Amino acid sequence: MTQANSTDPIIIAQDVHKYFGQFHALRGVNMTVQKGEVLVIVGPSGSGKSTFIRTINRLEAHQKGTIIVDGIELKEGSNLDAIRREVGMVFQSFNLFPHLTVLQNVTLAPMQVRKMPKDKANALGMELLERVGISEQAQKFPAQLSGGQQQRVAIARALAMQPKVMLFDEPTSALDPEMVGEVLDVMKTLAKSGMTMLCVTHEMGFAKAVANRVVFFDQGNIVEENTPEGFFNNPQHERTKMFLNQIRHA
Amino acid sequence: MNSFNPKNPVIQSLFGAFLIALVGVLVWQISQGLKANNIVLDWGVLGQPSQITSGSNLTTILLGMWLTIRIALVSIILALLLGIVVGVSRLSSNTVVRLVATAYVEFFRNTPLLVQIFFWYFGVFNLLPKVVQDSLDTQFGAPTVAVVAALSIYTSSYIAETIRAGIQSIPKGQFEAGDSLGLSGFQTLGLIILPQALRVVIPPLGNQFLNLTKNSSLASQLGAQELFYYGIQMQSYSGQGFVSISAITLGYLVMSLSITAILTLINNRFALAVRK
Ligand SMILES: Nc1ncnc2c1ncn2[C@@H]1O[C@H](COP(=O)(O)OP(=O)(O)O)[C@@H](O)[C@H]1O
Ligand SMILES: [Mg+2]
Repeated sequence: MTQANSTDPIIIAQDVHKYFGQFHALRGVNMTVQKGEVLVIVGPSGSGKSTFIRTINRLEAHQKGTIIVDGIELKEGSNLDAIRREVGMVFQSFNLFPHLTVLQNVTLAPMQVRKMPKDKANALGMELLERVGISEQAQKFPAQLSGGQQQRVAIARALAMQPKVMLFDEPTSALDPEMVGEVLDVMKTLAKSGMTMLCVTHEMGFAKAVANRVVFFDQGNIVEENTPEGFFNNPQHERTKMFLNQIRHA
Repeated sequence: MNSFNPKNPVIQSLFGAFLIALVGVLVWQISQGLKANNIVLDWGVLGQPSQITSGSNLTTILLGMWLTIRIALVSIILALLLGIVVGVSRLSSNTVVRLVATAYVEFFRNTPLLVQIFFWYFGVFNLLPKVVQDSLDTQFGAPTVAVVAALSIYTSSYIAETIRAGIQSIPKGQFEAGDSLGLSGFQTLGLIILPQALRVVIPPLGNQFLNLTKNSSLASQLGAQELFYYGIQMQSYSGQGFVSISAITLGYLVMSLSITAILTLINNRFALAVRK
């Protein structure tokens, strides 16, 4: 388990509310994440997990409360691109760019956003693809790769911006079971390297291996926060117990 | 296999033989009709000296075709650029931009092209400063300028709708991936969304390019010396109506089929890779 520095918060969310029209999706979420911390977010479908992590890079705008990422408050008119450069995101459905090669997927943002010269970006891209174990596929197109490989490319693509925080929204839910492991392995290595990570995932093994904290969402708010051992072995809340029973019998 | 399979070689050759027979009957019927009306087809007229331009009548036809090609090429490029801008604006989050783009599309799609050509020629063109008018007229010819403006703008209103549909067919996750990497809205649009949307809409775009090329024959109404205009002139000077119209038809057919061939090449070249 990585040791998080408990006096150096990189994400502060206070009383965050989010509405989709009339629907109250986030109901006053409070959360502080320390630099280097690995947080696993679990909860039933529709509880607001995706919505919450998407407010962290403002793919969703919140209507009430404060979110501060790396010292910058997320609000109307703040420099969104600057924040998004510091926060990488990995989606359930990969969202790779189908018209670009694997390497181009990884080098696009460094070249366009960070204005990195092409040869430097290619070197960085190949190094990252090496790290996620798919450098031989660099010249292929995403559709020619398996789901597990595509998700590893998506991780490399996000890392290419050298972000300070990585957000994962159910990165293994769309994968065939035999490919889940290869993606989790990459995520574990990343966690051990000291990256700050917020992961929406129901992979208990991953949570037990690398998470500092597990956060349980229900009906738009955090119901329980615990260590991985405490959360899975000795849950405090009725709703947490019910949820754990459900995922264990699924 | 007993079921009907259109790729069966026997069925295919039967169908081919039927088509050839049909064309044969048609040609025979036409020649009978021409004979009955004492019309003599003289293809040699194409080689005779032209009374309209220098060279032979064939030269005249080719000169007309050359102007048609230039009008079509320039208009296709302008229509595509305008269509992309208007199509993207149709999806803008800015209400004013969106409304202006919608008005543009509805106005130019819902008035006849011939009226628009006259509008540019007799209306807008005459409002330009005299020096601009004169320089455009001596460089390109006033009718050509008006026709290019009308064709580009008219066709761009259709292309805008095609582009809009193309953009809307791209999954939301592609926009989100661009945003979350810190790309600006323009970068996401230009580097991620449009390259995919344009691939999707190559076939319907091709239809618009073909329509534009065929519609360019309306330029003859302003006296622009393009293919249809010269073909009709040749007909009235030579009296060879059937030959002249055939030459015009063949000219448009060659241009249309070339456009189709080029777009097929582009389509194949840029098709998205799929898992093998
Ligand atoms: N764009 C949206 N428009 C309307 N409702 C939404 C939208 N996105 C999410 N919701 C609703 O917000 C709630 C929380 O969704 P989400 O954050 O995706 O849940 P989770 O990721 O925990 O499954 C759900 O009830 C969902 O239907
Ligand atoms: Mg979700």
